[in-house]
Amino acid sequence: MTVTETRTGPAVASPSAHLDDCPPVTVRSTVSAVRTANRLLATSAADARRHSAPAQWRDEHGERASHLMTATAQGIDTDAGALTHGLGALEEFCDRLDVLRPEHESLATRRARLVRAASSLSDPGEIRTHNEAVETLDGEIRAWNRKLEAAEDRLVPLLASADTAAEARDLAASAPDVSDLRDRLAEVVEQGPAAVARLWEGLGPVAREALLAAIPAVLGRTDGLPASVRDQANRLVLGDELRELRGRREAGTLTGEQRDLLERAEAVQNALARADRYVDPRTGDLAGAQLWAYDPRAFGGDGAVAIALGDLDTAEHVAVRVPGITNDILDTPTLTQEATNLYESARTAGRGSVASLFWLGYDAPDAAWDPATLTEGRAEDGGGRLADTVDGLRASRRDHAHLTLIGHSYGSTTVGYAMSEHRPHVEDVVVAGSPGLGADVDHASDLGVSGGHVYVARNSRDPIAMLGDQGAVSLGAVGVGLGADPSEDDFGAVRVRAEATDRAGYVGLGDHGKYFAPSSESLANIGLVVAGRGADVTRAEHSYDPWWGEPQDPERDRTPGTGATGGALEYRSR
Amino acid sequence: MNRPEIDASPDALRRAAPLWESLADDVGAAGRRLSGARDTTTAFGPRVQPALARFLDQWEASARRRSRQARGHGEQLREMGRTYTVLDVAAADELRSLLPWPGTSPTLPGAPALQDPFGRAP
Repeated sequence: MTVTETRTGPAVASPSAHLDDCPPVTVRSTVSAVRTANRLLATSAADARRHSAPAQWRDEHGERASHLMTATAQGIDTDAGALTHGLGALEEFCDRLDVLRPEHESLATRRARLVRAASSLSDPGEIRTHNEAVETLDGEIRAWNRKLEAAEDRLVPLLASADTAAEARDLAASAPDVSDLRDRLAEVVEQGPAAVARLWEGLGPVAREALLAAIPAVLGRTDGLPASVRDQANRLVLGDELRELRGRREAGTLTGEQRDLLERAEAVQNALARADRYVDPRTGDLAGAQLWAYDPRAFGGDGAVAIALGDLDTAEHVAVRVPGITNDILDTPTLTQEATNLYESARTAGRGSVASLFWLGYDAPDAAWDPATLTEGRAEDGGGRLADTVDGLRASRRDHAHLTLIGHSYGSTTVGYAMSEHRPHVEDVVVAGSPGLGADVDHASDLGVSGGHVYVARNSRDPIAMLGDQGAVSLGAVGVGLGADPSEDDFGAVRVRAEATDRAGYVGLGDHGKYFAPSSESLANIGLVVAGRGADVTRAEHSYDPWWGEPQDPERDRTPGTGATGGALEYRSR
Repeated sequence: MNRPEIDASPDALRRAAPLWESLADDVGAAGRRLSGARDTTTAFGPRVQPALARFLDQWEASARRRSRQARGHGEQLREMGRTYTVLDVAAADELRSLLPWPGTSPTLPGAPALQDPFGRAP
């Protein structure tokens, strides 16, 4: 065999090229646009139906048949049914592409390697080995192409079976009964997230799309559903809200309350749009964002919202961060930015995939002067909601993710309640800038996670972190406060370094907000914990309360360092 | 059931027209979304693209047609409201076909929706 017999690049079949040109986001965004159209048709049909003749009307004189609102409702319903049918097929196809794409990347990499190697081969033995590898790869590429063609062969006739008015009328006769599906969902919600996950798993793609079009707000808040479904649903709800309120703004009929609502919706939309463009530092692909919860009317208008960077359904490492006082839905851009910082840090720290969620699903106290800040009621209520959230995330996945719960400020008290009273399945707990984890949590072991898996980040200048009980002089002694200072030696947590290079001279409220700052010791250490590398954190000495004087914090005199949290965040242009 | 009585006062006509106009806006918006999706179908590759484009074209055209019709109905109601005098039987039938079904709540677009079993509007 001679070198000229070596099969090089052109002789190796390429994996179908069009996948290179259609990153997942393009295909998914097409489907998302169709889904939004379907939602618009579903709401239009529902509006028209409210003014239509009742279905049981005995149409002896043809009034029902000639009633235009009734006929219009039926017509739009029929169109929406066809779109639902097509969407089910498209979503199934996208799921298949999600499986095929990594295989495609691997084949393309191996092919490029073989093509490169071919030009430098001269030894007959090497050439033989090379040619065998080419043969093997050739077969794998052909097999991959067959898999793609099979997915396409399934999709094309499904679309073709719903692209005429007559076909749409036929499909309407066999459409899923949405009100029945809705009742079944309501029933299993009572049984818990695992039952919800089972129901969803058992539904076909068309039934799922029908529910998304009909009741997105319900799906967007139902624990146990996949995060991707909650994201799709909440984006539809956000879109509905923005369309309605912007329409009113244009018409000049926006009330003051609606103006506030629009401001909240736009804060979420802007943050989400930016998160959608964030690029993963390791893969160079979009990390992807998920709108896991969205309710701008919750908690008297403070709103509830949760946005993740990464995929909560598949990430090996999941972080759930609970913000503290002063945060409401208008803070979504900042909270999303900090979730992105944490994602970048955890990806830099480890090799596994990551999802970083901020969860504002409880009524955080409004300000330092809010009486609720020094009492535990909000944390107690929030702890139950947080535990449900973790249970829901767990139930919606088939595999077991490494999950880290992170509480910042009053959010750490909420985490304390969730863990001590409800025991959701969590591997690691981090509290940052904590004023205490609740009166009943005076030791890390009260949180129910394995020894050494409770971490505390405390900046020595952070005044909120000084509110925790330290020895005899404490808020707890006068019946208020949020429990023990978790940075103390006898609390039993691992204290990590969390000083800021630009910290205040003695004490500064600004230091309370630096735990998720890029290149900080704190973010680097929290990223390590999220990535499952808690053993590698840089430890800090605990604070302590000596018999001879006031509480001492050894970190006060240490010169702060920096941390490896990744480079500057990269965003793809629109 | 008896032949439904219609409330064809000028006020009823004025209240009914926005229902059609709102319907026209929303269905028209659906059509525009489908048109936007149509522009990105090449990402699905040469074997899928034609079928997907046909599918989207069909429902975009239908949405645009329904939107035009709804807008026309709204305009017709407003016109009838302006020229409202006395109706003969044929005109009354035409009007009946355009108005919301008697007895259905005459809610305007944006009014609170019906409650669902989850305790909140879907």
